[in-house]
Amino acid sequence: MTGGGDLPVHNVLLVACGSFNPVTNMHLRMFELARDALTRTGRFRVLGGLVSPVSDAYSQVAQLEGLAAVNHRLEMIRLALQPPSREGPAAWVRLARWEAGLADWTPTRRVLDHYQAVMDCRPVQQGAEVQAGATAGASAATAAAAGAATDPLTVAHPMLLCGSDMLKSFAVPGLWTNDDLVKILRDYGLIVITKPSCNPQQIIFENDLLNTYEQNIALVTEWTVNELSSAFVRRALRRRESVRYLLPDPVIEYIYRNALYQSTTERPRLVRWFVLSFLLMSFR
Amino acid sequence: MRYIVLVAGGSFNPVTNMHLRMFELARDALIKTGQFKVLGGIVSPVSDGYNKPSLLPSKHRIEMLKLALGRGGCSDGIPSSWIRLGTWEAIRSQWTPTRKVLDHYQRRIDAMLADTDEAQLNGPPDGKRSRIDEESDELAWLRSLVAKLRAKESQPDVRIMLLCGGDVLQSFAVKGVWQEEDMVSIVRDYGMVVLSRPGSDPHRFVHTFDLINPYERNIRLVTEWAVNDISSTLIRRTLQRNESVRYMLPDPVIDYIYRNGLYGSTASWPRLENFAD
Repeated sequence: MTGGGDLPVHNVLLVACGSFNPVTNMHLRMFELARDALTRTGRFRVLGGLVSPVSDAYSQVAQLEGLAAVNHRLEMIRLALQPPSREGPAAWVRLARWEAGLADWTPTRRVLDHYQAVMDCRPVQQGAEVQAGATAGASAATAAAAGAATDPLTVAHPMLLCGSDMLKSFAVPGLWTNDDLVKILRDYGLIVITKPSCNPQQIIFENDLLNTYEQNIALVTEWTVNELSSAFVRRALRRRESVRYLLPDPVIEYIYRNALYQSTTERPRLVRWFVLSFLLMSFR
Repeated sequence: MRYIVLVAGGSFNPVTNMHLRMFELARDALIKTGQFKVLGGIVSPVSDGYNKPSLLPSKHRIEMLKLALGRGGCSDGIPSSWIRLGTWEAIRSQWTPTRKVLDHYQRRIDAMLADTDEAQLNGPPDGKRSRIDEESDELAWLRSLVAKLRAKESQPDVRIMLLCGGDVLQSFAVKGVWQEEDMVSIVRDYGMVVLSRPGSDPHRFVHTFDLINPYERNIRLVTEWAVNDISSTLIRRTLQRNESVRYMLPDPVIDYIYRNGLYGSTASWPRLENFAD
């Protein structure tokens, strides 16, 4: 694959971090858009994708309420990432369990470092709970790196995939360490999916660090599914409204079966007038 | 209590998650009013006689709808049991005005309720029947729904209602697109549920358009807050560019499109090299 002259082709593993509370079509769409956009430039080869949900420790750190238990969030993502067709190829985006299994909250930079180490075939820190499936992300990363290794002129590294919220958070003082930001921007790179109403160029322009590494930040506009968020889905579930076609069917089924996010398949019953009046009359 | 059957027309070229979501939002909105129960929904794709460029033959559009609604193919999802495919309009050689489609389904329902429904009375035909009158899946399904309803209520009120997007409502004002009497009949006799994006102003349209304004209360306006601009046009364009359409329409529909090379797509599911399991 030519990279246009002597420019190296970056072999990248797209890594998305977040709570995925729950995972929605918007998250899944982000990977598709990112892959197409990077491939189009001719300078990237997308080896695969990883969805890395935060551990439950995040709810203390961020003072977040309503974060579904990690085992639920992992299972929902696993269901969402099933390949589209039984006869077709295996899925290119996989579930990463390493971060979720750690006892303490882990900065995003460390998650990326971990997968870089896996890709480099260096020893990695094992999480406190090494489940059977915990190495799925690792094996995906290794396989991805193996693919990259066939071409000695190329580099292989994880790349952070995120939305405009995370980009904006880079500019919030105290949220990220300078060290971490530099590492992410300089060595890994960023691909940001934004809504049409957002102005990511301005966010980059106004922040010195982002501005320095502007070349390592790819921007993609999501023209279609752009107001769908996990918060939206949670709200609809609370209100007993349909969330069908906002997230994959198997995930919806799982949510209802486990009554997550205050969901219930029962519609609110309207107290009938005659029942009410009967009750009132019976108290006379 | 009024029982509603929502009918949505359109090209469905191809069907997308936005079309399907429209039904879900409309149903929630009607139930919330407390005045309605939603008996079911019917998707009625236009016939090939519609003469729109790039309109795929109805055979494909129908098959994709079946896959989307989980009534065929390899769908592993929850079958959408409350929405059915209606082929009456699609199999006709000429284009049928929307109002006539609504009339068709309402008449059949009325006949079922009055026990004057032909199929119920006569049973399967022994003579030749024209293709147009052939029993279609959605009528058998409607019949069973109506039968169940009549077991509970003696004189149920079952009405067809048109389900559409804000663009269809706005098209009322475009000369030549609709017959005046059709528009009046739709808002007066059937009613509409209109899905619009935030920022568009369907209220103003209903307020200023004299023809339909008297029937304002029959026009239910619902906002689609999770802005869902997944138009069929965008899907076709993305497919042409060999880019991903995943999560914008159901997987079985995408699979069908890839397998049949529809809409100029030469892509298939991404097969990344050296990514062995």
